[in-house]
Amino acid sequence: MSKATDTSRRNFLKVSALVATPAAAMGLPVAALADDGSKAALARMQDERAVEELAQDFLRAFNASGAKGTSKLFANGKAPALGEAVSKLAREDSASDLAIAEDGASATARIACKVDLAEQLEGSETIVQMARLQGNAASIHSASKTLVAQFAKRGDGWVISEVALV
Amino acid sequence: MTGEAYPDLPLFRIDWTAMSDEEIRRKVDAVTGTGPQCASPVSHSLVGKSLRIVCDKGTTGTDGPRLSYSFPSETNATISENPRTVAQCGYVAQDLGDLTFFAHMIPGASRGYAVVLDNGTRIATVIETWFGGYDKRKREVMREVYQGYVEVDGEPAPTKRHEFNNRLEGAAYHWTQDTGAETLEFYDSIAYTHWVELTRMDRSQGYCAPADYIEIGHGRYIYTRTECEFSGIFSAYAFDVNALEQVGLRLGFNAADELEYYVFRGNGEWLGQIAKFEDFGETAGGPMLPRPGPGQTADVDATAKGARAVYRPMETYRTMTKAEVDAVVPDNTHVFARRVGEGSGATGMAYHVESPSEGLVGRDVTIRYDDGPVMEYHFTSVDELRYRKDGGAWTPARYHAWEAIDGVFLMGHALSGEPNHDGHIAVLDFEEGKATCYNGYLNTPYIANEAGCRHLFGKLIADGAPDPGDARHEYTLDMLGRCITYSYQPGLTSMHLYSTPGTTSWIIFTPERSAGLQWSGSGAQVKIRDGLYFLYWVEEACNGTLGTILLNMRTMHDIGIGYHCGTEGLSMSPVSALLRHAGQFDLKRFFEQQTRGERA
Repeated sequence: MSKATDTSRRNFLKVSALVATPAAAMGLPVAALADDGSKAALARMQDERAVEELAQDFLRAFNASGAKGTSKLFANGKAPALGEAVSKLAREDSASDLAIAEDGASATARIACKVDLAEQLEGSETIVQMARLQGNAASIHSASKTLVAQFAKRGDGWVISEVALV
Repeated sequence: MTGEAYPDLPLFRIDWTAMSDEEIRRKVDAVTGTGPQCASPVSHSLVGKSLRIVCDKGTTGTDGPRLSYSFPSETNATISENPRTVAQCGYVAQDLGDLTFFAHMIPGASRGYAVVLDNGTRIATVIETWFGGYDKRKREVMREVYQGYVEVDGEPAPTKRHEFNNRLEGAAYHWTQDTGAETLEFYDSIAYTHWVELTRMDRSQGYCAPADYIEIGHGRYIYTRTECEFSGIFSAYAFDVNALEQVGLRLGFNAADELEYYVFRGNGEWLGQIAKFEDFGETAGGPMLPRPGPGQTADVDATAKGARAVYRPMETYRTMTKAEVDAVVPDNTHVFARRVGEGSGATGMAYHVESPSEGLVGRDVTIRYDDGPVMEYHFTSVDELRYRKDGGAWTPARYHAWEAIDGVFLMGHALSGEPNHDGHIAVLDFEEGKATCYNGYLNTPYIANEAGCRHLFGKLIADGAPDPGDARHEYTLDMLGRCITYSYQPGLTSMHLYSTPGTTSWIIFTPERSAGLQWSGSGAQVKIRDGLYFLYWVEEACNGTLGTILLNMRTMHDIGIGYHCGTEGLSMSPVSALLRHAGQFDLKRFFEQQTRGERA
């Protein structure tokens, strides 16, 4: 993995809103991008968009099917360990930041999240097992945390290398 | 199993054949060219037409197919996928108002599609079906659902889609197909369904399966059911709740391992609507994706095509041999060992259990069960009694009792030295001089640590109790079709549906209070008084538990006792919940000649 350097820290959502718009639709002559470093800028914008989409995919998959459901998004194909009590991650947009390394090979996103922490239902009765299977909990309380996600660029695109809640 | 297509056995007792990929492929290939059978005249509405269907991503995010069809006749179609493969196959279509339903298989693939087209809007629901996707039971039909539209040159793509939602939740219908098959079908969950076979089987038992519920609009819906853990047969149909008509597909292997592959028409009858418990105005529906929790299978890939939450009870059931049961139970019988009540640290289903009653202490009681034992009791304390069976030796035992209404107690204890480790869970009715016992026992012919249950009705003899003569508590249809929610503790609410006189189905509410995973077992419903009912169910091929409850419809509270054997031994534990009456389906006419009526 390349060494991450803080060269392009931006507000995550602003970037995504910008890069969601194709360059042609922005009225930029594509040929003009070939000069003066614009091509590199476009590539960086595409990276940012890809990383943002991957982060969104992670949140969506986690909320739909738990940590195991996110394993395909990771470089090592393994589900992350965020703690058994973490049941839901809701993005709090205000403090989300993305930093792409200067060499473009890695990235770090810091995403402010409301984290639902669930107290597991205890018991071995059939209905308790069924309730746990569908995500029920004895109680849920929320806490504000930051999801720190590390990304790596591979030949076939971006993958997540690590996530942690801090 | 080969033999009868629908043998006289509950589905959970049938030894389903582990069919191989090759056997399945051979049987499917044999009918792919001819297409599904159909008892009704088939539709000609697609003949001479070509269709291009564009699909969105499926329910787990997998890419949907692009399907191109041409239909030279009412039974033959040419299909290309993505547009990779061009193949000839047989198909059958049926129309339902503006809807066209058609189904076919892909040659050589053990895979096919069922498609619902809304000809008025060009919106389509495409259901892909395939065999072999669940390694442990390859006969089980898998499904993925794609929303999409019919592409027409020069026309913009429709922006609306058919929608998974909860609009059907809580409804039930009686369907009669053109094949003669009749079913009661309960849409009592956003992700599961319950059904009773009225003609293919003996209507004594209802079963549960994962389902899809999709709204087309204007009172028209799409429903699917996959009989997971049983035959694996898949059914899908579009229907109109106002016209009470359905058109659909049945695909899969019955108990004789015969392939059922037919398109059907049917007529329906509305059986009622029970309450929903989501926030008012909330319409979110299924499907539920798998979220394996503690004790559940963890190798489910929630992003795989067709993945969804499927309750597979045998995956978590540690079955035991008779030798194992007989070895562990004598020294490991735990009767009312658990804490009960809110604030006591009680968990599971004991959170709302009240302290046991002292009302029996000091009393002497004799119960003469009809065609059963004579039980004599002396209640020495709130926890202990002495009993003797059929005049034998007096034996101390731990018991607890709860007084449901004045003079009517639920009482339970284990019997020592019985070869099958019996437990008695009895209603003692001092007001009417009656007693009814659900006699739990182990070492059944099926699974040694699965409970069996005898129903014992008898006369209670005690100071002040009247002689009932020949009168006894009786089986009842009062509970038939009712749905009662049981809130056991925060995060744990189940709803019972009594779909036949001998069926209890339980449905677990999600955190959003949608009805979710569901299963069912056999049982009985006995009337103690108007509004007071003594019920049981056995979690057959599931957890093996005998569950009993004495349900008071006036206080909407219950007290019950569970009887369960596992590797930790035999336990009898109290359960209690706060109840709500969700409603009652109109089912009595289907069972007037068939109360439980069984006195073992």
